Amino acid sequence: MTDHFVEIIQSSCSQEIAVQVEEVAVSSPDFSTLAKVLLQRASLPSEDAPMTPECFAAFVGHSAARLGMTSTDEALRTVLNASLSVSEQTRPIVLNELCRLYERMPLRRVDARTYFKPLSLYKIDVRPLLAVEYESLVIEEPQDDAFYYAYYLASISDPRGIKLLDDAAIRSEGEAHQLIGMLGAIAELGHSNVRFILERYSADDRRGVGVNGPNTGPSVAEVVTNELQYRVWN
Amino acid sequence: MLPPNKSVRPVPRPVGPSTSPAPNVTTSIPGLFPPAASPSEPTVVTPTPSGSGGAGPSHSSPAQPSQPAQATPPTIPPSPAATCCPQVSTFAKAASRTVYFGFDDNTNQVVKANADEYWIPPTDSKSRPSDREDPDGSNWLSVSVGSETEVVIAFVGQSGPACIGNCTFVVDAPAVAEVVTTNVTANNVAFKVKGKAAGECSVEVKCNGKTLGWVHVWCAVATTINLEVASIVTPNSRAAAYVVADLESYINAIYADLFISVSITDKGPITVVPPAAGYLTSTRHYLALDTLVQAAATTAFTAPYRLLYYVNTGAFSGNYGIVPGGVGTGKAGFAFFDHDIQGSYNTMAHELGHSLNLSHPLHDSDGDEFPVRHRAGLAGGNVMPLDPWNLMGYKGTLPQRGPSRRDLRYRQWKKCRRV
Repeated sequence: MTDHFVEIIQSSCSQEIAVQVEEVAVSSPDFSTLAKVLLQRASLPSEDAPMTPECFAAFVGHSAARLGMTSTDEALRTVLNASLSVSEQTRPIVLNELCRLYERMPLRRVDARTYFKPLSLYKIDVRPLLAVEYESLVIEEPQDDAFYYAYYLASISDPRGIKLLDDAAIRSEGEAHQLIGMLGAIAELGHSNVRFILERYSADDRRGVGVNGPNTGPSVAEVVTNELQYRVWN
Repeated sequence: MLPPNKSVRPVPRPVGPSTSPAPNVTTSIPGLFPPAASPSEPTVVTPTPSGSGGAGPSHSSPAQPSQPAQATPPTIPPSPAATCCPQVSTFAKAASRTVYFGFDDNTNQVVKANADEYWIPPTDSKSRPSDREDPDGSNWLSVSVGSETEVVIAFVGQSGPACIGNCTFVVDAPAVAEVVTTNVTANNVAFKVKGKAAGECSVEVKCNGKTLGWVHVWCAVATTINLEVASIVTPNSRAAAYVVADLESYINAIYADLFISVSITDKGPITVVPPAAGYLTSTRHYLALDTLVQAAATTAFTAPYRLLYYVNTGAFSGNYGIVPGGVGTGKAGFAFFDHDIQGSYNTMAHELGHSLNLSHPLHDSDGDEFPVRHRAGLAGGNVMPLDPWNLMGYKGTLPQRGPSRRDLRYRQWKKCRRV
């Protein structure tokens, strides 16, 4: 293990975890299993299954350091998804290693959500690495590549991302259900620079497709009110 | 590999002014993320004769050299004088669940008996319809890329190893799937199809150019969806009783038909201050609870989907489950009970279906999941006579649903979100 993470793992993790982290190969199926177990412990630590935020962060950083060109896509996805669950206080432990991972990561290894969400959370700037023609990007639905890229840009306060999200909401206005889905996804960003997009629809009473069919879902206004009132905005 | 002089910085850098959008749009980012697969031209597989199995036929097919079982184009065409089985081949579920995934024998249910089936009477011949959803009585198989699905192939009527051995298997889109079984010499043998790329194709059984039967194949890349589960604790609701590993296994068994597996992280009981007093029963309150638990969790909710228990500390409320945000909008699925644990797992699987864009049979307004001919004659609103135990229907009591309400069909396989 790299020295930096060795220290943290040895001081913050139980011996049982430290041994497993040391022994597991990132290319093996056991790695994803271990990551899942540790994530579960981080979510619900107990006396029988202890886990400190520092231990989990060090596991993620240590795993990121060991990923290379021959690592599987699954291992890469596991580490990137795990990085999303590192607590805010312990993200500095992981940050530099995550930056190095993105520097050496070949593109096209993971889906857009997995690629961009950690970048958004850690505020890592990879724009120099991406040959993207911003001008041609259009978001059609909240699961497409363009959405996650715009989400990422907005998270680092790039006005192009904010504009892409705003344009996407405007294009979705014609159909209430589509607008609800788009606004809900934009709201997950939790960044105050996109609040204005939601606020524009706070009086839209049209309903979406609920589980009992068209017009049985929440109204646009209800979704907006919920997000503006109860979500934590940064 | 990235050029060494580029670097990734942990802080945002100033950007230039934005420009106006170009008329040609794209939602994907070229060169960044994996592309979709595409189909190609059909090919023919001729099984290798076994050289065994009773009295040999009197036919003039050339002897085949022994070779390993391979699904490759034939090097020796079938002889025009080869004996063909008089009636049809059919495909049925394999008894072993370990090597077969989805099997849909409902999508192509015939509309009129003796008129639409792909059965071929001894004196007639029939060609496969170009529309794979034609109500011709044929079936759909699902198989994941890189895996094999096994069904039973059977030959109806006067058939035997000799004539069966003269059958060929034509895959109309060989880039999607291939026939693995190359030695069919008797009725009711295991027949394997291997998935190669996402898409659809048909496997046609032929002899001397005559079609004896067919089956359709839907192929997809297996995917794992991350899911989080928690129970909402308020003055009127308590921590739910569930075993996350059991819930995961239950959901995975259902969605195995379409190669979706879930990886569930348990967030446990999460206490929140509810938006109103009393046991909450309105959509806007469920939306609020969903947002509140995300803020209150020990570790952030990061998965694209979540399932929440909201169990009344008083009497059972009678509402089984709901996705208050609507179909396919990424909001949580709720279950309001846990006194029947298998029933609650079934409810969660059903609500997950809504999150993955699936509808009730009665509420499939655009008809892309349940064709009109299937919805005609609905009994009880959301129960179809020919598909009563569909996961998205309403059949059964809670104790019945746990073991039984689990079916998903071809159109639902297609409709379901995979990320």
